[in-house]
Amino acid sequence: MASVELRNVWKIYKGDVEAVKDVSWKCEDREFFSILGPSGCGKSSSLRMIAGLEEISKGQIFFNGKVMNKMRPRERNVAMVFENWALYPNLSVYENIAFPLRARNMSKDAIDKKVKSAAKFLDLEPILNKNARHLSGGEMQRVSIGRAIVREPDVLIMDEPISHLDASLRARMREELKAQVSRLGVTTLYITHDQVESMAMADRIAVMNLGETQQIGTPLDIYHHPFNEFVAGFIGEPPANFVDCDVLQEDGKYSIACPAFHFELNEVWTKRFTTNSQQRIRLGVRPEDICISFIESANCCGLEVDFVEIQGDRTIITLKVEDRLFLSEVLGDVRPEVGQTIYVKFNQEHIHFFSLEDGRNVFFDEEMEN
Amino acid sequence: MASLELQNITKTFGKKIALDDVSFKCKEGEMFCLLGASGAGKSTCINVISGVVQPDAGKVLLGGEDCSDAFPQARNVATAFENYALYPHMTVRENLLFPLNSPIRKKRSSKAEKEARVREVAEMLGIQELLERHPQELSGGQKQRVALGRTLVRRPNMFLLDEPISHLDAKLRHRMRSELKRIQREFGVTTLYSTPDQLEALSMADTVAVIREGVVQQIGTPDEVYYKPRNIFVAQFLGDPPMNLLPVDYQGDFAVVDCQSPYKLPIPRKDQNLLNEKIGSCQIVIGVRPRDIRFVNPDDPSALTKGTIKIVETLGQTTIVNVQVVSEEIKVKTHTDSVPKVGTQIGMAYDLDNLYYFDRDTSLSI
Repeated sequence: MASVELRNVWKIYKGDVEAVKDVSWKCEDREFFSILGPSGCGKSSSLRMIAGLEEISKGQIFFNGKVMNKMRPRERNVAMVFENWALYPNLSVYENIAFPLRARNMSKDAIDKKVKSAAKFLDLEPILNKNARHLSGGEMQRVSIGRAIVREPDVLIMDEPISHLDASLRARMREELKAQVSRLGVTTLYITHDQVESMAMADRIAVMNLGETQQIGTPLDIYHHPFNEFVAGFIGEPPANFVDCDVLQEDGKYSIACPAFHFELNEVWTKRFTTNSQQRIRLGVRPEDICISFIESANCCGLEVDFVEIQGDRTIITLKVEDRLFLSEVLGDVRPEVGQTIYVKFNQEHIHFFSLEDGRNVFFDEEMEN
Repeated sequence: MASLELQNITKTFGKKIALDDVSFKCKEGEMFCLLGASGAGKSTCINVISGVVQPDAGKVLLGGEDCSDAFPQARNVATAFENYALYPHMTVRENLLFPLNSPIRKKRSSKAEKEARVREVAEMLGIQELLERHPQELSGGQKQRVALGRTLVRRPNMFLLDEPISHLDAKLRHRMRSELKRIQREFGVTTLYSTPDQLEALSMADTVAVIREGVVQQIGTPDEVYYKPRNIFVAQFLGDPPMNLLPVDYQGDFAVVDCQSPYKLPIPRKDQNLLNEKIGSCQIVIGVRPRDIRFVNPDDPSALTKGTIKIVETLGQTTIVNVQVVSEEIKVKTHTDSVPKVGTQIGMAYDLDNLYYFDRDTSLSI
């Protein structure tokens, strides 16, 4: 077991392509740490540098405080689980798990002991003699993990292991993976582009975009207190809504106005704006923090319904806001008509304001204090 | 535009029955969804409609006319495939022009008319700026739109979309759902699409047909299949996470849940009347959606059963919790603020107004 630390790590490819820019974070021993970002954000380059498959352009990588930069992949004792499981289809489950041990010239008895204990742990005993090509998705996943852990790695790296599966299977695998990894207690780096996977499984998440770390924190910290507009928009499904607004002040009261709506801010926000005055700002609000009503009331805004999406226990209602669309999420079977005007209020406890210049959450520090 | 009807379609591949007596009707201008796991027969069904696969028995009616023996090109049905199947060496414009230059259409319109048609469709799909690019220079969502455009240029009788969005990036999936529906509405094309994803079915379709191992399980509006599932399979397939199933012994005012630590489940009066009338055996199955379970103190009188928190999945505002009740597991979907820690003992209260009842032998809804 080991902690993994990246200190000011850069990856620069030929032609000055900066894939990873000055990334620093530390994944503690036995932590389930997720690197999350869209394609091209630098997550795969980071992972390849950690595994030793790619040279580190600048900076240092430590395992348990020991510099790894010059270590070869096999000396780092890292195990990988890939997107397609990469099992040998013509070998039995037993042989698949035994493979990395045979490659190390371990004695037959020692291999047998290790394979059997991994199989017991992952509940693979009944299918040890089955051919890998006849396994179900869940079984393949467990065999793939078995093969990774049988050589007792210090760090387990999972690269988009379930992103390509059917939706229903994905949800089940998520659960199983999390249960298995937490029982194993091995330091795990989990790479994905799907925020739901990171949110559901990780102890902490590093959100990346364009080679840079955007924010590091627990799933709930990141969800409730996004550091910038990118994080706010990337985390959450459906994504958060944004619109540029004017901040108006009258008699010590603050309100937010854009052509489509305007509303008064509560005391908490008034206080924040008093100490940190702003004029133009970008409002960010999550779909579930837009409360809708069919009846007009004080401080609410009337918006036109553009689209209604039924999703079982929740309904997504798309609303017209100027030239853009706002998504709102409502629990239960609310069914407004397209074209109808409904009245919305924003849950001010969970709205955010971002700078128009650099997209930073203007009141991030204040949010974190509360 | 045309309506579509399948009458008693059966298709076998060797010993495997891919479609077993499948019948359904898709109205003109409707968005119809075939929902099922992989291997359920969705793609075979689409191939039968387009005429690529000949069924062993049954009829396909397009616009009320029997076209079972018609060749694919005569049916004027446009298919967009899961992998887009764009020609990689052609630009977007050439890809879009392609169907207009097919042997049976080549002479029908002038070059200028074809160009105008391509431009019109490209504008509607918002891809007019991409016309000179090659497919490898496009994002997944853009390729999707080009593939759709290629089916649209020839003004087909209907659209067949085989898993149009399931494999897109998570972020894109949501946007494409509303976009596809918008396009379908604007063009008013009768559309049949297949998906293994229940959310995709509920959010886009006017009518959903749930299919399993070649057999249609239920046909209905999204609300019908979700709130009034015809059997256990449909009930579990729709809704994420799936509905909890409790085998019970129904005894009038209450039902005793048949598990290692049996507990009583009070049955609302309106449901009692229904059950007394309908059931032959007291051995039934009760379904509870994860959203309809609340956490309470284990000693609270409303706690029907107790368990230990096993897995917690935070998904933002909602959290999915697996609770271990002796040897069984119950899934609960709850607000993130009220989630106890893993290992905590917890009581659970069920929302008794939203219970589902099924026959244990036939698995049909009561």
